[in-house]
Parts: sequence; structure tokens; C-alpha cells
Amino acid sequence: MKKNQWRHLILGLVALMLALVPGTAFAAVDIEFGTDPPAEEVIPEHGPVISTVRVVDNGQPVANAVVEVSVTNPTVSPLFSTDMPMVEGKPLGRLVLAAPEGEATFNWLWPIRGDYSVVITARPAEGSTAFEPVTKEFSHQVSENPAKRNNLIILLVILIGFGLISGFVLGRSSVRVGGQA
Amino acid sequence: MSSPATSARSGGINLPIIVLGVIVALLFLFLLWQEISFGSEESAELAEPRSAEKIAVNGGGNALSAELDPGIARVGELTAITLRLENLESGALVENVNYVIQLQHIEDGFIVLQGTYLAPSGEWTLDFGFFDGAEHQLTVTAVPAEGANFAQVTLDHVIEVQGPSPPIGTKLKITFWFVLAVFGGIVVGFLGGARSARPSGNGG
Repeated sequence: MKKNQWRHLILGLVALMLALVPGTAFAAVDIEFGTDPPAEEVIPEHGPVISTVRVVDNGQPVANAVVEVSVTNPTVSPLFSTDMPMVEGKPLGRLVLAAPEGEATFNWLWPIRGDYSVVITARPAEGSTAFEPVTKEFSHQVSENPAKRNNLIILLVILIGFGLISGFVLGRSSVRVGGQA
Repeated sequence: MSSPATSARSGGINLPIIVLGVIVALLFLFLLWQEISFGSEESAELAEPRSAEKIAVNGGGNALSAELDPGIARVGELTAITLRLENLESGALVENVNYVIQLQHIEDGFIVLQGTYLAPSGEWTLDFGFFDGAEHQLTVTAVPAEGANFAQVTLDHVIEVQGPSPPIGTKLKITFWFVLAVFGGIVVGFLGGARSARPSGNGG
């Protein structure tokens, strides 16, 4: 065997041994995110919703964690705005939460309908190296407030109805005028 | 060849359509002008510089402070709210503080944000994007977390939030849909009215 081949073989063996030594690998930490009530029952602008972030390792909470949460408002269809167009696609909030037991909650109101982007980074608390920081992005879908949807329908019915009645009157009178002429 | 009656009828239909078109166009332009003139007045107000603001309250030998950056919040922008509990004698941060926070929309009464947030170092920051240009009541109480011992302190502050006018494209979209709804109704109503008024037989 040539010198280079021996070197590669030795390096490979060292790498294999390091990988097999317990404690050198970091825990496979995951992030879970949920709301109470669940996303499909959340009504925009209708009171704060409890949002929970859990840092887990094989389903078990990881102690002494810190979570950074960053939420961006939805970008709604280019044809139909929400009633708060100034916040569409803009950040809703950013906060750092201590999670000594592996769980942290924040409690705020989701203002508009649509698909929120929730980016969460979990890292160990200061002085701890229990796991490597991990980042995960979640999508949080919120439906339109039923009261607002109903109000829009009522407004449209009134506008169309007004148009229909005025158009009907104008149509009849125009034919009469035409007939008399 | 068309009969004189038909020509007269078509002449009668054309005039209301033109009048309607002019009314709808004027309505659209009026709504647009209103929106633009209101927006320009507002943009001058929004151009004013906004600096950070710090509010503090003392209690039990400690000072609870809330720093807002900027001091006047604006819809669509993040406002940093930094809470600190400091010892009045040493000036050091008090450790293991639970901040009980409530942010309430004063006019409508609904709660925008609430909860208890642990600050092991004594300092906690929230970047929040206000979504309505109205005053909000911030109430913060610092209470001891596990392992800490101090008297609780409460701070109240009214946060002013500026609400800039939506962009012209959004105003155009909304105005367009509403005018379209009225116009659609007029067209359908007009055709229906004209049809119902027409004599049913040739001899009519």
C-alpha cells in the first residue's frame, strides 16, 4: 500500500471510533408548536390565543431550553385585501422565552386571516450545551372572522340590491321614453 | 332596415347608459380623491421623528421600567418593549422575575397580548407589531419567580399607535370591487327593467 492510502485508512478508522464513542453526538432535538384553541378554530381579532412551544427529544421535554419565536403576518391574495392591509406580510412579533421545563407559552391575538409563518429556534439556556440549536418553520392557518364575512356579504347584497333597483327603474323608464318617441 | 320605433328605443337606452357610466366614473373618482387627500395629510404627521421612551415605577426597593422603541408605535412596524427590574441601591438587575403582561386595545376593549413571561436575568424584550392605530393600555406586574424574593411592582402606561393610511393600490382595489358591485346590479336591473317594460306582442 502507498503512504497516502495508509493515511486515509487511519483517518477513516479514527472518524469511525469517534462516532461510536457515546456522548460525542448531540441529542436529536425537535420543536413542536400548537395553539389552544386549535388553528382551525382561531378567529382573527377575537381575543388572545394560547400558543405553546415544546422542545422535545424523542417525545420527552428538554430541560433548560430557550426558544426564540418570530411570527410574520400572512400575505393575502393580491385581489382581495384584509381589513388591515398595512400589516399583511409584515412581522407580528418576535420574542425570546425561557423554557426551563422544555415548554414555553405566549398568548396573543392573531389579527388577520391567512397563513402565518412561525419560525422557532430552540437553543440551550446560558451555560448549558445539552443540544445543538435547532430552527423549524411552522405554518399557522387562520380563517376569516365569520362576523366580518357576514358583514361583507350584507354590504355586497345592499350595494347590488341598490344597483338592481335603480337599474330596473332606469331600464323601464328608458323603454317607455323610447316607446313614446 | 330598422323601424322608427326601434331606432327611438335604442336612442332612449343609450342616454341612461351614458348617464350611468358618468355617475359610476364620478363616484369612483370622488372616492379616490377622498382617499388620496386624506392620505397626504396623514403622511405629513407620520413623518415626525419618534424617539425611544422609558417609563419607570418604584416599589419595594426596586424599579420596574418599560422602554418602548420607538416611543410612539406605528402599525406595520415592530416596537421593542423592554422590561427591566433593577435594584434601586445597587442598580443591578433583579434575577428570576416573572412579568405578568397585558396589552389592551383601549377603544374596543379587547386584549391583544397577555401572559406570564419568565426573565431569569431580570430583563425581557418583546418586539410587537401593532395592527390597529389606536391607544393601547400596557400593564406589567413584576412578580418573583421560583427562587426569588421581592415585593411585586406594577406599571401602567398608555401606548400611542399611529395608523398610516393603506397604500393607493389597496384603496383602488377596495373602491373597484364596491363600485363593480353597484355597477353589476345596475346593468342586470337595467336589462330586466327594459325587458319587462317592452310590449310582449307585435301589436302591443
